[in-house]
Order: sequence, then C-alpha cells, then structure tokens
Amino acid sequence: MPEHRPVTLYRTGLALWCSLLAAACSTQPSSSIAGPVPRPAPAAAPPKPAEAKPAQPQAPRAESMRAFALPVWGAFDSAVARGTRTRTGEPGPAYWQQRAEYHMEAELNQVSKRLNGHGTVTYHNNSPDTLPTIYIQAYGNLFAPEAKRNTPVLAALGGIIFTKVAVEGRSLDSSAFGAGWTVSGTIMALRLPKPLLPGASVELEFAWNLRIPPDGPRGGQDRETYVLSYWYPQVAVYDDVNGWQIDPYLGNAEFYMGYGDYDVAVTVPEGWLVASTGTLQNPDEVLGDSTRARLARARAGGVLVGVVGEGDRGAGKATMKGKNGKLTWRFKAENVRDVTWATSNLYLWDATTAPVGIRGGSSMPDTTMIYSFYRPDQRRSGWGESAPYAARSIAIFSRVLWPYPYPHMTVVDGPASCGGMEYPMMTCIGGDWTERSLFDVEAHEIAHMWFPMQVGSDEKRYAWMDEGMAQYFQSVAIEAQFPDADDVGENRRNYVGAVRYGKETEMMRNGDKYPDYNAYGIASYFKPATVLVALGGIIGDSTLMRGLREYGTRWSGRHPMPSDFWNTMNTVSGQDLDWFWRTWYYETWKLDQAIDDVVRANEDTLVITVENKGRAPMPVLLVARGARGSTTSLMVPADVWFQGEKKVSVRMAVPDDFTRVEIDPAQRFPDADRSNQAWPRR
Amino acid sequence: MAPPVNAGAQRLRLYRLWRTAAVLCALGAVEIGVLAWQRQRPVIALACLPLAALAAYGARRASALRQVL
Repeated sequence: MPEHRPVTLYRTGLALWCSLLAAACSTQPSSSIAGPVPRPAPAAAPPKPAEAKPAQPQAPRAESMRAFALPVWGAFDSAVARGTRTRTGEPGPAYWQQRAEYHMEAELNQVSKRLNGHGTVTYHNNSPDTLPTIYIQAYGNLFAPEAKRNTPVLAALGGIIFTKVAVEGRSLDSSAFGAGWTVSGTIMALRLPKPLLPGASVELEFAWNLRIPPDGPRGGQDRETYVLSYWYPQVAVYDDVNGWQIDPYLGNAEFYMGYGDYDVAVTVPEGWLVASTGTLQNPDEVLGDSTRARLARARAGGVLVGVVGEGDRGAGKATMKGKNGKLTWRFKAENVRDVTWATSNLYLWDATTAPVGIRGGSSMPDTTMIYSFYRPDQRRSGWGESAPYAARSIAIFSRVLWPYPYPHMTVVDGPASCGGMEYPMMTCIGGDWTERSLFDVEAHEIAHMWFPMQVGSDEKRYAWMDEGMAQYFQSVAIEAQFPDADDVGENRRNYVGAVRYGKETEMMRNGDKYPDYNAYGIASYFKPATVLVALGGIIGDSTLMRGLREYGTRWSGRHPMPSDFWNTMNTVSGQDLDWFWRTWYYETWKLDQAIDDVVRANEDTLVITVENKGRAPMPVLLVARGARGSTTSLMVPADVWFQGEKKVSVRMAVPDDFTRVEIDPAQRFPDADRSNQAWPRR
Repeated sequence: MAPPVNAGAQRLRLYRLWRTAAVLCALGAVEIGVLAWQRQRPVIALACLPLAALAAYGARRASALRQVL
C-alpha cells in the first residue's frame, strides 16, 4: 500500500483551492480584459484626403454604388411629391399636422388603486383627407388579461374600461357596424357619425376607469408612489407620410404621439404631493403657505431649496386641507405630446433652477425650474443630488442644442419598473442607483426632453431617432460632468461586442420586431450613439452638432421621418452621405479595416496597403508616429471602397524617425477588430 | 427609456461565472485524480471525467466571452 499523507495533501489543496477561488471570483478585471481605451479625440482638422488606388486590378464585382444607395421609400417619395416633405430635410411648404386639445379630470382612489377619468378631446383635422374613423390609443389595455404583450407585466388586472364614448355630445355604443367604437388590443377605432372633413374639428368625450397597474412597465404604483402614465385615451397620430399609425402597444417599443394642449385636473387625497407635466394653475388652493414661500425662494434662483422636508409633509403643512379629505390640482401644458403625473404622500420636494440661455423671444438669459420628488429612503440612492444633477443636464443640453423650452423639469422617484422613463417635462426613475449612475440616467432621460419630446419622431418604428440621440447626448453630459468618464467608449464597446458576437440587428426595424431585448438595445441605443460619433469623424464634430441643431430646429413640435434627419445632415454637411446611412442604419455590415502591408518607398514615404475585411465602407484614418512623438496623418476617403475593392494602397509621408503606423488610433470608428490596425503588429 | 442593462457588464459577469466554474471543476478533477492515484484505485478516477468535461466546457465558454469583452 502506498503511504498516505492526507493532512499535508488537504492543507496544500485547501491553500491552492482558496487562492484559485479568490482569483476566479476577483471583482477587478485583469488589465488585458478591460484595460483603458482611449477616448475619441476632440475634433481635429481633417487630414488631407489621399490619392488611393486598388492594390491590384480588381475583377468586376456585383457590388457597385447601387449597393450603397438608400432603399426606395415610396410613402416618403409620395410625401415629397405632395409637398409635405423635401429632399433637403426641411418640412415641405404643404406640411400639415393634426392637433388636439384635451380637457380632462381624473380622481385617484388610493384604496382600490383605481383611477376614474372623464374628458373631452377637440380634434382638428388639418390634413387634406376626410377621416371617417378616428383611432384612439388606449395604452392602459396593455394590462388587460387578453392583451398581446412582448414584455412581461407583474399582473394583468384589467385595462381601460370605457363607460362613455360620445361624439359631439352623442353617445356611441360599442358596435362593429355603423357609428360606434371597437377596441382591439390597445387601439380603439371610433367610427364617426359623420366623416371629419379637411379643416374641420370634432369633439370627442370619454369617461373611463382603470386599475393602476402594480409596477407596470413605465409607470404604475408600488403602494407608496403612483406614476400615472398612459392613463387616458389619446388620439393616435395621423401623419402626412403613413396616415394613421396604429401599431399596437405591446410593451417593448415605445410611442408615437401627436402634439396638443392639455388642461388637466387631478384629485388626490389631501397631503399628497402631485408632480405633473405642465404648469400648476392653482397653487394657492393646494400648496401650503410655507410650501409656496419656499418655492418662491427656489424660483429666485441659484440655490437648492428643500420645498417639502420630512417634517413638512401632510395636509395643512405641505398641502392645504381639502374638502372631504381631497384636493384637486390643475395643470395646463401647451404643445406637448402627453401628460403624466405622479403622486405620493411620502414625497420630499427639492427645487432649484437651471440656466437655459435666451429663449422665447427674450433678450435676457432665462432659467427653468427644476423639481425633484423622492421618498426619504431614496437618499441612499443619491436622490439628494437629483435636482442639481437635473439642472446640470438641462444647462448642458440647452447650451449644445437649443434652450430648454418648458417651464420646469421634474424628476420623480417611482416604481422600480420606471427604470428611467421620459415624459414631457418629467422623468420617472425607479430602482436602486448610486449618485453616479443617477446622474447618468437623469442625463439620458433629460436628453429625451429634446428627442422625442420636442422633435416628435416615431419611437415605435424608429427607436434610434430618440433613444440613439439620448444615448449620444447622455455621453456629452456625462463627460462634461465627469471628465474621466468614457461613456462614448462604453457605447462603442457594447456595439462592437454585439458585432463580434454576431448578435447585431439593423437599426431600421420596428421596435417590437427585434429578436430579443438585447438586440433592441444595441440597435436603438448603443449603435446609433456610436454611429453619430463616427459621423463626427467624417464631417467634423462642429458640423455634426450644427446638423443636429438644424434638424431639431426644423422639426421641433413636428413629426420627422428618418429621411428628414438624413436629408438635413446631407444638406448641412454639403455631402451626399447616403452611403453612410445605408451602411449603418439599414445594414449590419461590419467595419474591419486592417493594415495588410507596409513598404518603404523612400526615406520619408511609405506605401501602405489597407484591407477592408468587413463590408462597411468607411474612410481610413491613418496616423504615422515617430520615435520623438511627431505624427503625420492621412484620410483615405470612403469612396475607394464603393466599387467593391477589398484592398487599397496609399502613399503616405511619415516622420523621419517613423516607428509605427495605425488606423484610427482615437477609435472614432467602431472597428470590430483592433488587433490588425497597427504596423508593426503589437 | 433608460438604456438596457450594460451589455458589457453582463458579458463580464458571465465570463467570470464560466471562469470560476472551469477553475473549480478542474481543481476538483485534479484532486480526485490525485486521490485515485494515491489509493491506486482507478475506479475513483472515473469521477474526474464529468468534472474535466465541465471544466473544459467552462474554459471554452469563458474564452469565447473574453474575446468580446
């Protein structure tokens, strides 16, 4: 029998086990895994374009310029022919848009967790079309037991129950024939007694009630806070390109909303604070004297004021005492696409102001109010800083885009499923955050106050038009606030990771038709933000920002389509970038540029052969470095790839003490494989 | 809506999970192997096989994830 030494064996094994376990479970990634990545360089003078030629004669290929043209979009072309859209990106001379005025009353029953609503909608038909049917969005039906959903809900307790639907004072029945209404999923079809003629208006009346969903997607209640989003019947968008947009609300893809004026009265228990889209019309009736005094101090500007602290809450203090224990808060909002409100008896209320620059015809710089409503225990998630954070983001975006136009920006703490959700003048943020991540999510949601709250794109069909913009400008705010942050690099790594994993889906896809939420996230958030950074590398960051501002100014309060954005950027940059839009928005072509060969032509000139191993055509940014730090750079234009070439050779002047040549060292472009972009190889 | 949970962080978590699984399974396989050798009982070594297989699978998954971090 062999000699056994169990004690020694197990001691050794235990030590080895523990050390390996500690290494394996280490929370710090090793440098080779997540090492620092250089942030994209600030805008620099574009390098001189190079003369390039194919490395060897190429056989004729199937690919040609046509492969990089934008697909024909018949509905948009028809809109151009009708004069409502243009090829330059501006609204056409015949552009029209529907409009509605909402007068609504709602009462919250916090015991049964139900909301009873009643209201009228005056709908103006500014289109040249006669409308026999008006479609109404009943988003609350997402929670009906039989509703189709692509996002799980905590409980399907019922949708919107309509108790009255009337047109011009005449009640209509739920019927499938003649004048009447039918509901399918989240869409109500309201067949009018008389067709609505062009230029005419119609008054619709609704009474409804709904069970407030427990922590539903993008709002609901968690027994302490109530965030009333998508709580009323809203007229669907009828636009000049697609007509009625009545894609059902399934939970994942977001919304496409028309603009209108809102007059809303909400009744809640006394002592409950209400935050809402719009301006409070009756502060004297609902806010306590000390609350109004502190609010006035906050309005005076510059400081953070605790309008309602922990000891100030309740009826007779934070709020007035109401009749029958209830108070009615009245809000008005003009030219917005939705109204959301939140209420709780636990909220603290902080207020400050944010500079927004010169707006609304004023000659003096203006400010807007910043409100933050949160429960006391959310201080551990950094909520004590939420108002100053919001003020910072508002100030940044007002400077780089255009002045924030609304009277306030309100951040509310809500159910966890809010995550971070945007509504006009408001965002609901739920769940646990740190001070840092709270800034990030606030920056993202506040960027949405420009896209899509002002620039009213179709979030459902083109999610990148608002989420991609918000993700891009989130990085602008984060990197202004935290100079060491690399949010741009984080977006790029997320996108490139999906590319390398083969998990990418094109951006031009309906938000409800992605294979999974991760694919939706990559295509709607990380890729479009990364693509805008790449576009800045081609046309220059200042031109990019000028184009974004021009696009926003042209389409603020309107409904742009993707082509309007692309045409505006083409016009502002003075370039035909259709190849870029095709490559990055319609396709999932990979960018993989590699240095194939480097030959010294003479003392200070190299002949560099670059291979395009992917399919995406992009300029090649070559930078040569010398031992003493000198550099030369060269930009090979993207069109060298347009005939299907896979390799091009360029002559490049290099420093006398040349040591290294590299493609795109600042990583402006999302290349899938960085290991083949330097010579000599690392 | 706020951006989805950071895909990079998810991949990093998955990578660590598979790496830990691979290390622990490999360690277990070695330990059982040593025990079988010390006792001169080849039948004990049979228990190494599933652990070694799982360790190899985990190492492969971790390696694939590491490529995209």
